[in-house]
Amino acid sequence: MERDIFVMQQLREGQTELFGELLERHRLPVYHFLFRMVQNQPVAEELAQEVFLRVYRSRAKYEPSAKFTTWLFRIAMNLALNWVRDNRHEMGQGSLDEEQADGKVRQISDRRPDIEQQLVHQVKLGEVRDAISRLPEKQRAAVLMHKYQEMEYTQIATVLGCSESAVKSLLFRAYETLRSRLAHHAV
Amino acid sequence: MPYKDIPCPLQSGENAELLLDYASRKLTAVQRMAIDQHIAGCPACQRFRDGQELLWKSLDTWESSNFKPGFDMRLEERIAADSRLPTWERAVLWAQNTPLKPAIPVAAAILLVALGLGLRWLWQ
Repeated sequence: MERDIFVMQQLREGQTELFGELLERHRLPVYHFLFRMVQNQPVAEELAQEVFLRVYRSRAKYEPSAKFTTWLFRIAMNLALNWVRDNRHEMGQGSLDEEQADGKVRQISDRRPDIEQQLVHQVKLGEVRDAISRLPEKQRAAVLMHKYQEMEYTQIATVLGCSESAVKSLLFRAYETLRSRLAHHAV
Repeated sequence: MPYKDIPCPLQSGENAELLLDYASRKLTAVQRMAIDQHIAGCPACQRFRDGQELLWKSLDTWESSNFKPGFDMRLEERIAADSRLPTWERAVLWAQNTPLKPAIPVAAAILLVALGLGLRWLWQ
């Protein structure tokens, strides 16, 4: 039996101390997915909290019908899509305050070639974020799960509530759009 | 070998995901060899593969950030606050979060109609 499902069953039996194990394993992937969906750090954090709060609330009624991560990402995706629909104008506004993976705020070094490299990197990064954020929401979610979470097609299909072949064609269209939007990166 | 002499993934649509997975290094050695063999004689698939590999590099530039310390503590506080909520408030939260949410107004309407019919029957 999948460890996560076992833990959820133990939570249902009242062993709530095991919740930390789930959190330890899944908070970063969930947060990273949400961060890329909403492109705003505080919002992604708030939504990640909400995801795990809902997992905790659902422990008594949890029935393992698919992989735990599929269920988890379905909750995360629904929350992210709701937020995006309600706050279209705020998408990406957190970018200037964004922190690096080590938690330190980005600093531009004094050395000129580094500044130039950083600026080029920032421009490219901005274009990638923009290209992804302009994808239709299902395509965007599919790309984020496929590229960054490395999820299988079947799992993405379950999260999105569509067939595996629909996911493949969704991804084909999405990557086609991204290839054309970011083609100049090759130059 | 199951993938030997595969039909063109772009033209036939069969195994088209293999071209996507090529760039993400998810293919088995056998699958990769089959795609390599096909691509050697198919300029369209070659262009697709090259474009997808470049796209992969571009997408790799987008690293996620880490969250602020204290995430677990804040969550624990929220869980503790949640468990102190009265039952009715938790029921409201459940109703707001349940995937059956769209069915709730319908169920309420049916209940009201049934109640109305019941009262009418009693009146008569």
